[in-house]
Amino acid sequence: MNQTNHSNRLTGEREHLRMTTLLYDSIRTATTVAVLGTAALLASGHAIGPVALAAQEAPERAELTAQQARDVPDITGSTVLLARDVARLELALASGDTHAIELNDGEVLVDGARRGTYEPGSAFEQAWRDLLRNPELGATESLGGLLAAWEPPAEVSPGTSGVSAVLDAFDRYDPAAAVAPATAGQAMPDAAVDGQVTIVPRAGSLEQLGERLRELNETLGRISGEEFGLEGDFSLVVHDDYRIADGSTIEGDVALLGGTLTVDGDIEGDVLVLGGRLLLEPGSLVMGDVRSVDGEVETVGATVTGEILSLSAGERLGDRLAADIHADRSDRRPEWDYERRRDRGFFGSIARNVSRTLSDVVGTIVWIVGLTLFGAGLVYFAPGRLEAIAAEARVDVLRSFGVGLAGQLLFVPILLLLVVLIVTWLVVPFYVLAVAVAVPAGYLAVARALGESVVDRRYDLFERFNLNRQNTYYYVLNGVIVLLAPFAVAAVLQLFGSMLGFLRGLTLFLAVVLTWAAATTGFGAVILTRGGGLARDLPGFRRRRSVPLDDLRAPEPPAEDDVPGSGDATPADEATGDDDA
Amino acid sequence: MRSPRAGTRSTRCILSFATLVLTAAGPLAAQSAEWYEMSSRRQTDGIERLEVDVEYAVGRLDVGPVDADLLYQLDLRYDARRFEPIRHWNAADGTGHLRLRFDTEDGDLDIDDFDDVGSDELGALTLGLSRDVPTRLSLGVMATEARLQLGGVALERFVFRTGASEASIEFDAVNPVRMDRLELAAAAADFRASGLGSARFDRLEFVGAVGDVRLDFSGDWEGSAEAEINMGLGALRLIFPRALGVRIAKRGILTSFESVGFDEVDGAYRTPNWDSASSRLDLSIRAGFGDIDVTFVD
Repeated sequence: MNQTNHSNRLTGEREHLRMTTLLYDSIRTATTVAVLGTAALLASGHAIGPVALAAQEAPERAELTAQQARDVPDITGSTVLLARDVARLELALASGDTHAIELNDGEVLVDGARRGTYEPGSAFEQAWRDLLRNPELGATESLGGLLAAWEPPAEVSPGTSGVSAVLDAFDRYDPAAAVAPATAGQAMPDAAVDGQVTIVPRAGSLEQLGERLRELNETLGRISGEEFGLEGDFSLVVHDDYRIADGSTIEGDVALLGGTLTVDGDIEGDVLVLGGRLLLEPGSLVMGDVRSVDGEVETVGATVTGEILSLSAGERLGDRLAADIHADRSDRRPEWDYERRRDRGFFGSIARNVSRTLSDVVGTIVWIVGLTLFGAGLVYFAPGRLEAIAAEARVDVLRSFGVGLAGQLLFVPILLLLVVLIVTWLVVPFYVLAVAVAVPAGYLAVARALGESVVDRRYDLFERFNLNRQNTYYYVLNGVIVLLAPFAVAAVLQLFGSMLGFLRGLTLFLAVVLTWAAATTGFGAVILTRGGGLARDLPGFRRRRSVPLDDLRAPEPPAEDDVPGSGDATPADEATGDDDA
Repeated sequence: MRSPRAGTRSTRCILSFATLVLTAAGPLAAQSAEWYEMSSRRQTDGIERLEVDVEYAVGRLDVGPVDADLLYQLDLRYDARRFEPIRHWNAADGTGHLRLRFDTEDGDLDIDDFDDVGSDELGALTLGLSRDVPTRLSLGVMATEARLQLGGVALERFVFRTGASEASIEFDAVNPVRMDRLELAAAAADFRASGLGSARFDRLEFVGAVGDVRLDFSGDWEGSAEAEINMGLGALRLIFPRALGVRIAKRGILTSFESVGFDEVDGAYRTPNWDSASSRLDLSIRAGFGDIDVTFVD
């Protein structure tokens, strides 16, 4: 079973649990990734656009958003994480360092170090979360002043350790206090004092996230049938409601992982929508492609210079793509391997081959039954004619084949002649009907002759299945089986798929040729015998003229003095009155 | 000597194996389909001419006009386990080229793969084209049910080839641009085209192998045109507006042609208004075996 099938069997609860876990993992990962990536890339001098990851708390879902500000000397960016128990602000500084203030389940952490406590769910925490949701947090030019001016609600005692820790941490961004030495007694983290902050990454980096998104984008290309790659780096990754204001430009590609991204400005790149809603307001511009998977895209009045591609496959596709994004680096092989989409997998191919084989085998059996029933009708209603045609076909094969071939070649000209000669129009239906009956009847006569020949050889296989009965019905049955056997063999060869494709094709070709040869020979025999009316005494062929039902009668037990093999006629011969001509 | 029950035992073994295989294969076969829905569209930004080449094998095909600001819109529903859409787009010198093809898992399309598939399981393709941007459209369809509502679509050239399918083409609104060539080919199909006068073609070529064909030349005629029809075996029904001057040159002795409403002039058949009609259709018919039925409508 391939991975896709395995994934299909996941229950909803399991899938939900997995997705929830992934989302929480993504929060932790993306936060670290954004901070590290921003710091590392800025430090290394790489040109990277604004990277934004924002988060908002939800009952069972935490999301992440980051925004970048680049024109403020001290703070170059901010990262916000809002989850059930965590509310965290990370500031990227122009020096390349970061500064993190975090409320985490009753504890205030500054750059990872415990600096105080607070009451979870208190007014202080609520005020802290309101601050982190403040849209002005994205305005980096005034961010320092905003933080420095922030105060907890009046009912919160400033003396609470957690509150003091936060206020102390913010004081460094007060322009008036920026150059002043730390106030005595302030609990500034040592690392911050030293100007160095060490954060141990849990997984990945911003580059890895971008690489993963690019791989995913290429996967989308393969799914949608066109290979395409991103023009540049992801400059904005959005996982919550976010707006690109009018007049602002995002230089690079944008990924929307959730929420609503409203665009009033311009995007100089592609937009990858993996869930959520992309709203391109009138007048906005996307100078690239918009690709959406299970997302919603509205472009009324907006300009998109590239393709607007939407792809959906129910919840499965979106979930799998999301899982691919959040997959841990150590297990980054997608659960759903798109490269193998063209391959059904081992068991899938077996199931397909078995299904096709069964279908074709059943089809062959139906043909055998149908032709045998038709032949049985001929045996019952016109035994003498069938015998005569079969005798002609067996004794004079080449002549019958030649006449049959000529009859086939002349069919259309004769038909046209009958049509052109208007007086013969009435003959046309009879002519067509006669040929339509003669071909299958001749084929069955050949089958009858072939069946008798096979039975005479007394193959062990026929003995095993008790098919060596000597009457015309069995001759027809055996003959039809032999004639159609190549089709059954070709059907069985499908079990091996393309491995034996050539052999199957060859078998099918031989089967068709055999069928055509039998039909042609039979058709010729019909013509030569005038539809079986001209019965000839042919040497070596047993004519069966008795009532066919006699064939079904159980043979009489031999008399005591009638020893089998003594050279007398067999019971079957006696019952049918056969005699060798 | 072999036991008479040996054959029975063998038969039972075979039947048991077949039952086992059927039981195992059933659930696997049941989850074979994986439906994708894909929508692709582009705005007309910067594109002055469009060339579209689509080959669609099985399923339902619908073609029609799209909203004003769109160059094209392509909505596709397909079984990802059977097909892989291959799209290609490029634009140069103001001309956009869109190609859409389908590949199967084996790399080759085998109609036998779909013998056991119902028509509602074959997917669908809806193609919308601009009313404003002159378009050269080439459609090749096989075992499909094709419904082409091309009224209003700016078709500069249209080539339609269909295999064993049921196809209908309708021009219920005037083509905004002149069509230099309209090529239709139907192998073994129930083929119907109506409103051909609104297509504004200069030349029409139709090739039909076997099947019933109905070509309705009514519509809003502007100017004159010529047409060539090649029929193999089947019935050809032609419908002309009375105001249109029609001249028919027919070849094929095995094809009946009722010439009521025509005057025979120089071996060809002309409507009495041939000399006075503002729009004329000069039609050449070569038919193998069948009937040609002509109807005039107001």
